[in-house]
Amino acid sequence: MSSLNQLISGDENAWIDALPPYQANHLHALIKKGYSPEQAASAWLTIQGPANTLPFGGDSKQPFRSLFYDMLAREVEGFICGAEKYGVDRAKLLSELKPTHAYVIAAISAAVSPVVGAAAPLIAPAVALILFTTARLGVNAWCAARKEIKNTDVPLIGQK
Amino acid sequence: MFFEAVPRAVYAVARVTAEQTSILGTAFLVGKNIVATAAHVTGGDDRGLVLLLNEIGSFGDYQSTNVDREIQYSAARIVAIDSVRDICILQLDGDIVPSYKVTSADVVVPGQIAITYGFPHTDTGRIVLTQQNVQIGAKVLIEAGGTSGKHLVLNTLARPGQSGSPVFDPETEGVVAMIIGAYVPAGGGGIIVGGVNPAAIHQTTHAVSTEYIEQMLKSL
Repeated sequence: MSSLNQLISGDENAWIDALPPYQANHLHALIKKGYSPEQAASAWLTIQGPANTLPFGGDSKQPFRSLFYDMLAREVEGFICGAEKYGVDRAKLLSELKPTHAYVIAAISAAVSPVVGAAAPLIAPAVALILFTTARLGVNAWCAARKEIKNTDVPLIGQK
Repeated sequence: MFFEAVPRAVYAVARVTAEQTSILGTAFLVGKNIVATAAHVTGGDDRGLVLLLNEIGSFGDYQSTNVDREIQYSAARIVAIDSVRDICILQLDGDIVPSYKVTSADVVVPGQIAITYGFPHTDTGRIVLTQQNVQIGAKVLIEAGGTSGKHLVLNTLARPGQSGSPVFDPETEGVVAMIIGAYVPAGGGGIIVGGVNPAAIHQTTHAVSTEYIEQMLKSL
């Protein structure tokens, strides 16, 4: 049995490196260009493929841009910082003996995926970057910092 | 290979909701029960996502154009996605394997003829598996997310529904690229005429090298 404090600690880069190489390499490239973890996560969620290319398909009612980093960050915050609605998922994760970084990313992505309306493989890199920041600050400090964010008038989805 | 196997390798991607079924693009087999399409085709959301099963046994058969016909489908689940390269890998039920290799744009050269299969005009409800023989106009590097990626310029006018179409090299019978869209500088503005962006009406279609698909398959 682990605690989230124990799980989300140590080398923050390990969270990015736990992703498949095709995703990790993109995130490293964005951070190397000077993006903050938050900016890199937002970019990952909103990039619509190569530059100067107009797509020939897809559903205009559900474009990538409907995925907002802030919405995802609120849900991950809920998972990490103790929201009741993620209690079962959190307990399941903590019941694992020694979950790997990849397992933690996958577990959190799977839990918040239906709430934010995006497939887990899409949001996993953004979740990894949030964990990158959380590991750097420590879980308690990160949760406290999130509380300090003034723009918190929108409740977690499904929470009154 | 192409003629007989195409209906069992290339599919239309659709989203089924309580209100409607939207045809989103094209997908093609890249492994056992694994298909690839453009990430923007799925929007990163696999709720209600399905592959429409082709009704024809051979590509030489006549295809129905009745938009009200019933079509069988298979549910599809996103297992890998690269929003920078605009590639999405889907898993489906069944027991189908590709009869060709996923290679790379490296093996073709400008001036060469390539073959694409896809579903043009799906925005009108038309679902017709269509072959286009296209000339490769150039090999280009296009920037996205801080990195550049290998692409082919195809000298053809693609239409909505063709995103995710495979580009085959007829010499090696491998799939070398996947259509993702048209060259349009800076998004091409917001003017739409009759459902068409005028800035996209030209013969410069972009296709991403399938080597990136191969890299994603290794992570599954």
